[in-house]
Amino acid sequence: MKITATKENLLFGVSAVQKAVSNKSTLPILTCIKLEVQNEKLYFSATDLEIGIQCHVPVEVVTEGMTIVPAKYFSEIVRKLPDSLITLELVNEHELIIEYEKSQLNLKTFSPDDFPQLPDVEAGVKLEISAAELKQMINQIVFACSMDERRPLFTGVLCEIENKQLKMVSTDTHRLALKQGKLKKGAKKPLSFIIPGKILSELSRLIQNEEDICYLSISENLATFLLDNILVVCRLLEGQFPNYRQVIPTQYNSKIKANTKLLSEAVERISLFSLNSDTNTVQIKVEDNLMIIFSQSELGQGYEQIFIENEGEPVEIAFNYRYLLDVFKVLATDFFTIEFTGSLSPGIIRPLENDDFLYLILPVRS
Amino acid sequence: MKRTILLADMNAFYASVTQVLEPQLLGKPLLIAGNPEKRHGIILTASYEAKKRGVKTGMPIWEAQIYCPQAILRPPNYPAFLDFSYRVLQILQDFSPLVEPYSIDEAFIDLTGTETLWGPPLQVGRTIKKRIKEEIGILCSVGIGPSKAIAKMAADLQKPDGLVLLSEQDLPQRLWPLPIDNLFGVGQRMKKHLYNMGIRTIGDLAQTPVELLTQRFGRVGTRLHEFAHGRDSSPVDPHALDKVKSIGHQITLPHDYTKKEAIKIVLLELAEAVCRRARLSNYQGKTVSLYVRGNDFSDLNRSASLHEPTAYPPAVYHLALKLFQQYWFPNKPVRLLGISLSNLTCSKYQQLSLFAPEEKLYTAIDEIKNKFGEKSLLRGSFLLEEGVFYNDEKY
Repeated sequence: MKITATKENLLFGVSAVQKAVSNKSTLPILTCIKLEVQNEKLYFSATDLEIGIQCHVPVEVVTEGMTIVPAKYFSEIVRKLPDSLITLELVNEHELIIEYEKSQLNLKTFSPDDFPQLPDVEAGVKLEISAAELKQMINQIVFACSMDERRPLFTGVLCEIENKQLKMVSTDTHRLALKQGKLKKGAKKPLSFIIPGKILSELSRLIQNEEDICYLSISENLATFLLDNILVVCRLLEGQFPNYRQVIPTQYNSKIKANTKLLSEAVERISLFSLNSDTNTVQIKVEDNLMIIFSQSELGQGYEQIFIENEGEPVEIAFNYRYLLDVFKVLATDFFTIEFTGSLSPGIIRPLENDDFLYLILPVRS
Repeated sequence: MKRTILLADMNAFYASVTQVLEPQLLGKPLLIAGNPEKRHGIILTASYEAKKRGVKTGMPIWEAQIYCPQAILRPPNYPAFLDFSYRVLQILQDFSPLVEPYSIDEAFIDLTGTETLWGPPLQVGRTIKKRIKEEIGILCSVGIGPSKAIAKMAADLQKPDGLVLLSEQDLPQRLWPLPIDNLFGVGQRMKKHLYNMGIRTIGDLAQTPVELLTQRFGRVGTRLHEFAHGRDSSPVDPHALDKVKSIGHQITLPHDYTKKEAIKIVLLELAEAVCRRARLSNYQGKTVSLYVRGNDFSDLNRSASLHEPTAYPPAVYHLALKLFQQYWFPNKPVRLLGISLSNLTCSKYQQLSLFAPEEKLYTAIDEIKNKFGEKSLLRGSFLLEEGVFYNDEKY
């Protein structure tokens, strides 16, 4: 194998597959990147057996071939190369020569035979969605996924498809985010599956060009996402997601309209007093058209009042401030509504005049 | 300001209490020990009559019986011990508001500034001993000194029924010649380390440069050096035991367990017991510690943290089991298992959860147990042969 490529293209390749490189595996081959030259392109692949990423960049090919390089060293080398043309050549089967300007590096390589094959992705239901829309959907819900591996289902995002409608749901059992979007090409039969949240975060990062279309293929236990020159394969999480519809209240006793930026800033300031407490709690009180955000700890206390519109009863409730700030970051509208049914029942946050996003947050009992 | 600290240490506490409750045992060799059938048969306390013949705390019953064949055996009566301990504390509180319960049979009292009320320290010591003997019926050793460390070491100098006052000037003469394990804070393990450094007596340690000790043992080394010189600025804290730091249970298995299935049952029993206690006192814990002792008396102590504090067994059990599988050699026989929950928070504030069946389930379980007793509702597996907590009907 011998090629010439730009530093920019090599860097694109190594950073695209980076998240799929295992960093603590007992199998050394999983800490590597596979480089393969075929059809005027250089393919980068990496997998930790949970996620696999492949991407390709155009290069000038002298001879085709493949090799396996240790990801950490190869990525570091690529990052530090000068902005010039780089020649990669495999010699003696186990040595990659990296030539640039008047210099040369020799990197020892592994045998390609041991590198796991990325799963075949031909089978499965085919779907299409605009990359921009997918990215926005992911960003609005993925933060509510759980990090607790003890209940693996909640580390994933439930995707429900009916015709051209895609619903994504995530929860860590203290809050729940739900987002609806449109597919460009849907499924004939209703379909539901759970994708690991970590993988969706990575996918969102990989979506650079918003005009792209993302081609999905969903089979029994695998999901693949194809974006222009990047392919992501992952295992679906197995199990039955609990019935989320059941926990979303259909009625409310009070509905409040507030300014996203004002409230977000107020909570951020007041929460300084709950930073080191056990529950990160801020208390909220609504009377007439005034919302009072209050917090206290050994360090001190504080409150802020902001004007809101309230239809319904007065409210007294306490929340983990982090769960509030998380959602304020992804609400794309200037105003939002929050519905309450009692101090021990969930609050429902929705962007104003936009019913494709919903965020449910459970209070803290105090 | 110069302080006056007194330590009252009840002599052979478990045995003395049992003798008060059963006066016919007074003056006889008495051994308080667990059930030998479940391998809890070690001497918890021996009365002084038995100690004189060579019985020591921690001996197995059979060995104690070689030294003292006529000794009478009694199981521990913990509710009575707690009650007596509480009554002793009440007497001590008459002398100063600063009383720190240090263990079930020891308490520190800060007498600083009470001279005009109660007279000189030795006189207070005599009064305390007299009142505990007359009102409760047991003997104690009293140590008095300018710090907690000195008071404790002074009390250890004369047992039973002792009364010793030490000042800092007395230390080189009275304490320094003693073997190193008489120093407050030195246990068997530390004794070994110090022996390896050639330190045999408290005096040796006092003469060792503090830098050397700090380098070798960190903060503990510095503290031991301070203790050897009688310096200890820690206050007598009446609330020392109010702040619960951890909630734990451990149990010696009736025989060595090797099968994972059997060990899982005991871990689940321990997790249930620990969480039940946490819930009763409104605590939630974030750190789970596993303690395992092998048949060769090797120890394993490992901790890990949960994502969020809990008082429900599933999370605690899973983490404990994970630690066990990760760190214990497969199939190595296990003699003792323990789980504790620490990094506690008071569950005054409680984050509510969706899809959390545990919350409702354990609220119901707690209500049933509160009403009908701890044994009213059990997991089926606890009644299997391998279960250790509730299989004690025979005893």
